Order: sequence, then C-alpha cells, then structure tokens
Amino acid sequence: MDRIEASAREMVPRSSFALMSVVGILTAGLVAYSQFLALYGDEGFHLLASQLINAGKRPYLDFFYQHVPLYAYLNAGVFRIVGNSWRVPHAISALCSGAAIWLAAGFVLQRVQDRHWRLPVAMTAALFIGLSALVIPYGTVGHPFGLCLLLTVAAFRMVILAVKRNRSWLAALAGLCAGTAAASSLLTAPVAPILLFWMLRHNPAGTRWHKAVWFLGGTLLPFLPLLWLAIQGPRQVFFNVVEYHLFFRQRYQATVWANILDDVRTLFDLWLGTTQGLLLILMAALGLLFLDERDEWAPAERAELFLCGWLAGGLGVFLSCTYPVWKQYFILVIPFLGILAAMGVYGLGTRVWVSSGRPAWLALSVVLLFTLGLARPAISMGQNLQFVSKRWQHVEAIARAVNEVTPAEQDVYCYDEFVFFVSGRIPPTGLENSFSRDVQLPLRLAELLRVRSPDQLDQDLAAGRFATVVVEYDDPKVEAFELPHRYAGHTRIGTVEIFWGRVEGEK
Amino acid sequence: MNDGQPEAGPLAALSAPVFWRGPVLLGSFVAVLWAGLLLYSQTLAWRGDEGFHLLAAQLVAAGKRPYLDFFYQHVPLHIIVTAGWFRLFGDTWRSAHALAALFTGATLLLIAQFVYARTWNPVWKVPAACAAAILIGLHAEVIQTGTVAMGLGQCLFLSTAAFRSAIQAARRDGVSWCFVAGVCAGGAAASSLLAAAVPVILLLWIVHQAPPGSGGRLAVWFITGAVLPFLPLVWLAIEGPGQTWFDVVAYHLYYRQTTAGTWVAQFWDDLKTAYEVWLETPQGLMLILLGGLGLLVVAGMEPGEHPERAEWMLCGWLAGGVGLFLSCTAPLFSHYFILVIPFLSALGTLGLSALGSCLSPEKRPVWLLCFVTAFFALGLIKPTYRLLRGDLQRWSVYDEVAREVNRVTPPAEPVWAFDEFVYFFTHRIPPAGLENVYAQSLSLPPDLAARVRAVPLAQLESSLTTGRYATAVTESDQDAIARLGLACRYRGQTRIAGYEIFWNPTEPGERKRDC
Repeated sequence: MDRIEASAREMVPRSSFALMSVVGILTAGLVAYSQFLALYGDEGFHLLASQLINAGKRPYLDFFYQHVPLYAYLNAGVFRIVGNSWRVPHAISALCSGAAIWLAAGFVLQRVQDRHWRLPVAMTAALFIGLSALVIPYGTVGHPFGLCLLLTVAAFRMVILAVKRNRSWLAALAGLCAGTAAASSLLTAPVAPILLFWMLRHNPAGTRWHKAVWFLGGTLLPFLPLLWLAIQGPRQVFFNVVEYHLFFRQRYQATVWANILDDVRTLFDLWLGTTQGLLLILMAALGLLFLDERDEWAPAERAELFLCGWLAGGLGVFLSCTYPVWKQYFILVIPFLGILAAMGVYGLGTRVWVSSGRPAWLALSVVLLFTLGLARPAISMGQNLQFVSKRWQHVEAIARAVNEVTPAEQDVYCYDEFVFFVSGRIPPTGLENSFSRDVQLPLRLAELLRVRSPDQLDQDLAAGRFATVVVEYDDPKVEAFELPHRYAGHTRIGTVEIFWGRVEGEK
Repeated sequence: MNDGQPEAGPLAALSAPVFWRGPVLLGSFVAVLWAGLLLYSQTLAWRGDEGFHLLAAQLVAAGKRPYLDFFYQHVPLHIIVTAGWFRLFGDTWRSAHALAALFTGATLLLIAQFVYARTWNPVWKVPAACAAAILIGLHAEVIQTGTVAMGLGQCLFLSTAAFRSAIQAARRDGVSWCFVAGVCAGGAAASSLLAAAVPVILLLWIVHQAPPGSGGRLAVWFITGAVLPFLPLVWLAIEGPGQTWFDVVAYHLYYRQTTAGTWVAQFWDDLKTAYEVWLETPQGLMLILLGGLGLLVVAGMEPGEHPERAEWMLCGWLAGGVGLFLSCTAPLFSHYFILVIPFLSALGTLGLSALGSCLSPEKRPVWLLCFVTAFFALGLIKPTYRLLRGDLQRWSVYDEVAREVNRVTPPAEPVWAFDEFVYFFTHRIPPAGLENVYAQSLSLPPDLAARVRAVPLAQLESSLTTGRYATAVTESDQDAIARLGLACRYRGQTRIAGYEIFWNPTEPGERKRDC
C-alpha cells in the first residue's frame, strides 16, 4: 500500500462529504444552466445528426458531418430511449462536466498530504473547473465537450491506476476512455498518445508493453463505427473527417497571416485578456514550480501531477494549432490546468502564508478573484439573451409553427438545423449541416458528399420545391424570390419569417 | 554552492552580496529603463489630452494667468513648472516630454532604492529592486502616460518622494523631513488633484507613527509644507475667486463630460474600466496578485522583529487609498491608476521575493525575475499593437501644419483652430475660447461663460463667418468644412495629412467661384 492509498484511507469522511457537496452544488448549477440558458450555435448540426441516425441515415454517406461520429451515435442511442429533446443531451453534458469536476477534485483530495489543506485545495480545484467561463457555457450543451471532459479526466485517473496496479484491464479502460474521447471529438486526439507515453515511461518494467497493447486496443475500439463507415464510403469519410479540416474549414481573413494573427489574438484574449485565464496560467505555473521543489511527494506521485502538466501543455499546443482557433476548444485544458492551479494555491498557502494557518481564507480569496472573471461573460450572456433568436423557446415556437402549417412528408427550407431538430423533420439534402454550404467542390464530389451549394438551394427555392420556407426577416431572398407572392400563408416569429402554402403563379 | 548562496556564473553577479556591486547593478538597470522611457517620450509618446496642458504652459510662459485669462480645469503647479522648464529649454513638446520622463525615471529610482534597502535577504536585494523598477517601468500606463506632458509624471515623482520623506520623518523624528514630505505631497496634489489622497494618507500615517506627544508638531510641519505648493493657486484665487473656484472645483463636480448618459450607466462604465485595468490585463492582475501576496507577508511580520513593517503597510495604505479615491472619479480613465503603480509595485516585489525565497532558496532568483519580466512584458503586446495601428507620425504632422500656418499667416493675425496642438506648435496666442477644447462643450449662463473665458462651440463657429481670422485649421472633415463654408470664405486651401488649412480670407461680399 503506497502513501497515497494510505492517505486516501485516512481521509476524513467529512472531507469527502464536503467536497461532494460542493461538486453536487456545482453540478446542479450546471444542470440548471443547461436547461434554462445554454444554447450554442454549433450544437444544432450535432443534434440533427443524431436524429438523422435514428431515422436510418448514416453520417458522411447520407449527409455531411465534419466530425468523428461516436458522439452523434451515443446521442442517437439516448434519443431512442428518452425521445428527441435538446434537454436530454444538455443534461447529460452537464452531468458529464460535473463528473469530470468530481474526478479532478477527488484526485487533488488524494494527493494533498497536509490535512488542513486537503479540503480547501480540492474545493479550489473543483471551483476552478466548475466556475470556468468555458465550462459553464460549453460543457452544458449538445456538443461533445462535456463528454470529452469526463472521458479525458477519467482516462487520466485510469492510467495512473493502471501504472500502479498489475491489472491490464485498467490500461484497456484508460485506452477506452481516451479513445472514446477522441472518437467523439478529434480535439482530444493528443490525450491518448500522451497517456500512452507516460504509461510506458512510468510503468514498472516487465508489464510495460503488455499494458501498452491493452491500452491501444481500448483506444481503437471506439473508432469501430468510423471504420465501418469508412469501409462503406472511404472517400466520403476521408473528406469529412480529414480533408475538410485541412483544406475547407471556414476562415475569416483573406490571407494566411491574417488568419494566424486572428488565432494569436484569440489565444491572447483567452489566456492573457481574462481574469480566469490569467489566474489559471499564473497559478498553474506556480503549482508546477512548487511540485518541482516539494519533497512532500515521492517521485511516482510527483510524476502523476506532472502528467497534468503534460496533458494541459500537450492539449493546449494541439488546440492552438487548429486553424482557425476557437476559444471554446480550450475547455478541454481546464480540468488539468485547474488541478495544477489548485496545487499553486496549496504551495502559496503552505510556503508563503505559513504563519496564518487558515487555508480557507487564501482559497476563498483566490476563488473569489476567479469568480470575478465571470462578470464579463455574464454581462455578454445577458446582452445575448435580449436577442430572442438566442433562446430555445424561440426555436420551439418556430418548429411548432412549421409543423402546424406543413404536412409531414413535405420539404421545409430552413438554414437553421435547430428548427429541423426540434420539429422532428428530415431536412432536404444539403440542409442538414450549415457548414456544408461554405464548401466549394467539383459537382461530382459534391454529389457524393451530399453537399449542395447555396446556388443550387436557391434554384430549388425558385422552383418552388419547398412547402414551407423559414428565413430571417432581413434575408434578401424574401424579395429576390418574391416569397410573399408565391406563398399564401405568412407569419413572423421573432426575427424569422415563415412562408407556407405554395400558390401556382402569383397571389 | 554553499549555505544557500548562489552558484558562481555569469548571472550570479545579480545576486552576489558584494556591497558596491548591488547599487551599481541596480543603478545601471534603472538607468536602462530610464533611457527607454526617455527614448519613448521623444519618439512615440502622445496623448490627445496633453495639447491643452502644453498650450497652457506656453501661455503661462507668455505671461497669461490660468483661470483668469483662459480656461484651465486643473490645479496649476504642473503648467507653472512646465512653463519654467520651457523658459530654460524652449517650449517644444520634446522638452516637455523629457521633463515628464525624467520625473517618471526618478520615481523608478526612488522605489527601487526603497525596495533594495528593505530587502533583508542579500540574495534577493538586487533582483527585488530590479523587479520593482520593471513593474513600474514596463507598465503600459506608466510608459504611455508618464512620458507625456499631462502632469502625471510629476505627480508620480512627487508622491513617491513624499512617501520616502515621510518614512525618513518617521525614522528620524525630524521636522525637516516632515516638512519636505508635506511639500512633496502638496506638490503632487497641486500638480493634479488625482493625487489629493496622498497628503491625507501620509499625514495620518506620520501622526500615527509619531512618538507620543510629537504628533501635533509633525502634523503642523507637514501641513505647512503641503500648503506651500498651493500658493500659486491661492494667489490666483485671490485675483479671481469665481474663475478659480469654477475651473478647479465646480467644473469637476457639475460640468465634467461623462461618457455615459446617467449616473448609473456612468458607474457601470467606470466599474468596467477598473475591471479591465486590474483584472483583464497581465500587468494589472500580476500587480494585484503580487501586491496581495506582499500584503500577506506584511501581515505575517511581527512589528517588533520587523521595524520596516509600518513602511510596507504605508505602501499598502497608499495603493489602497489612492486607488479607492481614483475609483470615485466619474468618469474614470484607466491612466488615472498610474498613481497607484509605484506603491503596488513595491508591495509586489515584497510578495515576489517572499515567493522566490520559499520556492527555491537554493536557486538564483534571476530566473524568477526573468519569468515575471516576460509575463509582465506580455501586457505590452496589446498596447504596442494599438500603437502601431495608430498614427505614428503625429508630431511631424503638427510640425508641418505649424510651418504651413506660419508661412501663410502674418505674425500678429489670429488663427482659428480647434486643436490646441496647432497653437502650441505655431507659438501663437489662441483667440479667447480656443485655448482649451473642454471649454467649448460647456453650457453656461453668458455672464459666467464670459468670466471663465469659455466660449460655446456655436459661437466660435459663427465667429468664423465674420472673417476676422486670417487662417482656419480644421480636421479633414468634409461635412464640417461644408457646414462652416470654409472653402468659400478663404482663397487659399491646403491639406496636410488629416488637416485642412484655409488662409487668405475673402473680402465681405466677395464670392469665390463655385460658392
């Protein structure tokens, strides 16, 4: 039995209970947020993809889907059990985020030796993650972020266990978690190799390669759906999962350098232009410095904490190389950075503020400062909520109206995947994913990939192919295609115009 | 390595406890930063608001009196000092900037020396003092505002000098140091009312630190010293009490241009400014964290064992008190907080040296210093980016405009220009009401407006139609030019960068072609 296990056994149950209460409150808050406020523009096509899978369609082959497929399949499974609703994936994401917080904070609770500091530091880690301005809005939506948070932290915990114990299945489980994360979102791709290398380096000789094989086996398993799809349509799968990201992702500036500058600015604003980013960076750096100096931990224990650094650094570098970079990607770094930052607070408290003996005050001040970092995102969210289009109620009202006026089998023209998802309708080819419309491809390849250009969709609109048309009120198509003249019915919900009841000739 | 002493090596000198090496190294380091500030002040430094300060100093040097002869909404010591400097070194922006950079550089030296003298750990003496100089000298607001002619460089220096003198007064129980502290603190407040909290805090501290029975005596000396720099203001107030009161007090209470419509909106705007300055910049947050850490260290000091505890506490009181006072100004601008930086930096270095000593006593502190410098310097990226995207040629444009205006305008003829820089560069006395752009937005009863020499914008614009100005200079705003009919009222017209110069007015009744 090593020191950590001994410490874990010694752990006062009250500490665990207190930590569980804090994590419980954070999780409840995340779930509440997910049900009342969370809405992320990019979750629409993920939710719709799951709905299409349940309708018997296959990603890549039957519709454009530029991500690895596991998350869409998992969601589809959930939808089969509990029905199509945005609330379910939101709640699951929030619960996954909550579980990730628990795993990360639990790790800290086990590693801190000083019994006065154990609980405050673990709570600080939990609050650093749970109150992060990235975790709250992006870890609670129908997007793989929440699931990936849980799986990456679980893989981290498993690989530590796998190194300590002579159980190959633990290595396989770690690989499975890391592989599932990567098969849900390629943004977590570096986690598996980092964990594998770390395991190879720190595992006692003898079982090293054996465990590596098990780990790799576990990692590959979640990619089977992708493999199955790749066998059926290799060109489509390669384009959607690889080629699109390399050559067709939407960029907002004219030149490569301008795009890179934009990405640098995004990184700067996220890490050096926000209270939370700055605090996490500084405290995590301090945490690493303290780890290097302290003799509190045995080398093996210290290596586990440094693994957090490798994961935070490796993921951070990988995410910074995506092109374009979006700040929400960095949600995946938060748990590991949160653990290190909490260690930084621990170091400060036990080395610099030794005389006080009141760890709670230091932890509370730092957490308070961290919470202040939520002020600006909260204000922007408040301003966003003033726009009716940013609310689920608005989408639901549109979907209700569309279903009232459109027979079940008829086609609806709408650029918003949310409307198709909430109305439970199958979108016409080319309208399943708004990102496909920015891709300019040769005609044959576009047909193979089920991609339709805006011009082709406009032609369909001009030909009156759609029973109902949903457009923004200021969309030039209203005038260009004389929609008020070509459709008998017309209503406006918020910022959206709905036209229905095609008329032959003009009204 | 022995007994925790640093290893020998090329960088070991930074932490070597040789008695003469430390001051020399520190002096050289501060000199480099000082030179950098001076270089910046002579090349890129520019603030829109320094125009009326420069012009006011020039007008004072020309024998005019602030408040009585022209509108000037600040206390007068800064422009009086600058006017004196102009007499010695010429009335150019470069000389005014050099003065500001000298004051700011001297502040670095005072704080760095304070930290050097109070750092007990010999390994940390030079690095901590260098860190103090870095935290001030590389601070974006210090670089941008401490090197221009707005009086804040002078304020920085005087408040820091007052702080150092107050410490000497407390240590030596000397009335002379108390008097000097008063003069400096009063000088800071008489240069800019933003430093008004400094003399109050120092007075309270001196009285608190004074031995029993001598508090009153020291207070009298301090107050006497503090009143001295206000004598020019008193003299002006005797000559024109109404004007002085309006410019220095009433204007700030009732007439300051707010950036938001209501008081509540203004409060949120100001809160946002403070939030951005302190919590959303690497420099602000680093100062807050290190300063907080410094306060923790001070709180852990036993007064008996650490006699310097009260001095560090004074740093905290000054940083907190001045910061709180500045937060109550409405509207609040980020550069006001420059006055907090020296004291927060001093505390920050205490936090840094404590952190470094605990973190790696056996390693050279220079690496931690490098990390802090690198992280702190990251805060300069955004301001540098903004600077490079802005107009880097402003001063040469002013020079060119001034040359052209002087070429086309006879020496005694009046020039009409909204921009005070034009008058400053041409060395011309502006017509009444054009000395300060802030006076133009005031809505006052006519008799009060006449008394405080504030001419409303509409009246200034309509005066253009009388043809009494030999030359008019505006920004190249075609709408404004058309509205004022300048192209029709003047025969000559030239454009230089963003400025349009009109000269040679048409005779009454004469109309140019196309008009």
